[in-house]
Amino acid sequence: MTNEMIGDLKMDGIGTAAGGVYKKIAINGVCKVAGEVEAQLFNADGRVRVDGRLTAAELDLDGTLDITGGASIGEAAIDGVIAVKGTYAGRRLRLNGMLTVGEDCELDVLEGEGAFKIGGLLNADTIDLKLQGRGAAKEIGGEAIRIGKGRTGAWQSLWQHIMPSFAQELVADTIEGDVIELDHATVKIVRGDRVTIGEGCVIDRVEYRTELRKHPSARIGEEAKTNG
Amino acid sequence: MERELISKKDLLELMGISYGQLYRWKRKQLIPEEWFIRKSTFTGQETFFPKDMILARIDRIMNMKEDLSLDELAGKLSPYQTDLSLSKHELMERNIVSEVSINRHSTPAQLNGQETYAFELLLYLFATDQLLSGGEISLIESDLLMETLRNHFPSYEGKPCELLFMRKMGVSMFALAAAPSALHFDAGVKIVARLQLAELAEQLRSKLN
Repeated sequence: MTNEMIGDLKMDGIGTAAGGVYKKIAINGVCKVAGEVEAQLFNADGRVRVDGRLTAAELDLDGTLDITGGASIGEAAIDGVIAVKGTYAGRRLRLNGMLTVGEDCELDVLEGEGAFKIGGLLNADTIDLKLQGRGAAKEIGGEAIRIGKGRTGAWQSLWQHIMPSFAQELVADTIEGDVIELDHATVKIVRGDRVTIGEGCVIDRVEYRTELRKHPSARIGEEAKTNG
Repeated sequence: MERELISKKDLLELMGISYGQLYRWKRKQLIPEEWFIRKSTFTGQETFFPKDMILARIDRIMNMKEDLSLDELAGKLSPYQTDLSLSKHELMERNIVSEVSINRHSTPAQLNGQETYAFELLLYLFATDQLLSGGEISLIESDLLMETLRNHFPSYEGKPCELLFMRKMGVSMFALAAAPSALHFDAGVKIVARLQLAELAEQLRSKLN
C-alpha cells in the first residue's frame, strides 16, 4: 500500500463507487465498485460487484460479492456467495456459503461449510470443510485436508433433485497432502502420507506413505504404498 | 535441450519433505510456477520438476529457513538477487565464460583484476558467451547483445524475462520480452535463439556455488 490513504467509502442503497484506495469500505445494498480497489476493511452487506482487483486486509461479507479481476484478501469471513474471476490469495477464509474461484486459490487456512468451485489449484495448509453442496477443484494440495459431507437438512433431497449442484460431494482430479480425510469424494488420484477414505468415495488410485484407512463402502481402484 | 526431470513423488522422498511443505513453498513463491511441469503418466497426471534446479532450490530453502521466515526467504530467492561477485581470475579458473567473451566485454580495471564482476554482469556475459560459443551470434553482434542487456535488463526488476535473437534478410536484432510471452513475427523472421534469463541465472548460480 504505497498510495496515500484517502479515507473511507460508505454506501447504502443502489449505486456505483469509484475504485481506489480506502481505509474502510462499508456497503449496504446493491452496489458496484468500478475499478481496482484496495482497503483495510471491506464490509459488504447485500449484492456487491467489484470490476477489477480487490485487495483487502479484512473482508466481512454477508450477501454476494463478485470480483472480476482477482482478489488478495488477508482474512475473509464469507456468509453468502463470493465469486472471483482470476486468482484468490489470502491467509484465512471462513466460509459459510459458496466460494467460486476461476483460477488458483491459495490460502493458509480454509475452513467452514458450504460449497466451492475452484478452476485451478486449491492450495492451503489446512482445509477443513463440511460440504452442504458440491465441492469441485481441479487439484487440491496442502498439509491437512479434511473435506466431508456436512449435516443434511430436511430440504436437502428436494434441492438435490432440482439442482444436481446441491449434491453434497467432492469432485477433483488430484488431491495431495500429508493428512487427508475424505468422504463422499470422487477423485482420480489421492496422494498422501496418512490417508483416510471415508463413506461414499470413489477413488481411481490412492498412493500413501504411512497408512491408509478406508470405509467398507469406499471404492478404490488401485492402492499403492510408497516407500519411506 | 532436454533437461532431466524428477517427479514430485521422488523429489519428496529424496529430500525428505512433505506435500504440505512443498505446497506452502509454492504458495509463498519460493518455487516458481514455471518449474511445475505437468505430464501424464500411466498412473495418471503427475508433476515433474527440472531436477538440478529444484534440488538446489530446496537445499537453499532448507538451509535458510532456520534463520528466516518464509516471506523473508522469498525475497532472497529471486534468481537475480545475490551478492556474489567474481574476479576475472576466478571466472577463468571455473571456466564459466570463455576468454574471448571476457576480453571483449570487460573494462580494463576488470581485466587487470582491480574490479570484480557483479552477478548481473556475470549473467550478461554468461548469456552472451552461450550464444557466441554456440555459433549463433558473431563477435560484433555480441557487443550489441551486451549493450541491450545492460540498458534494458535492469528495468525488469527481477521479473522473469526472455531474450530473443532474430534475423531477417541478413539483419540481426535482439529483443527482451517479459516471460511468458506469445510473440509472433512475419514469415521472413527467423528466431535464432530464445533464452529464459531466469533459467540462465539459476544455471549460473549453480556453477558459482
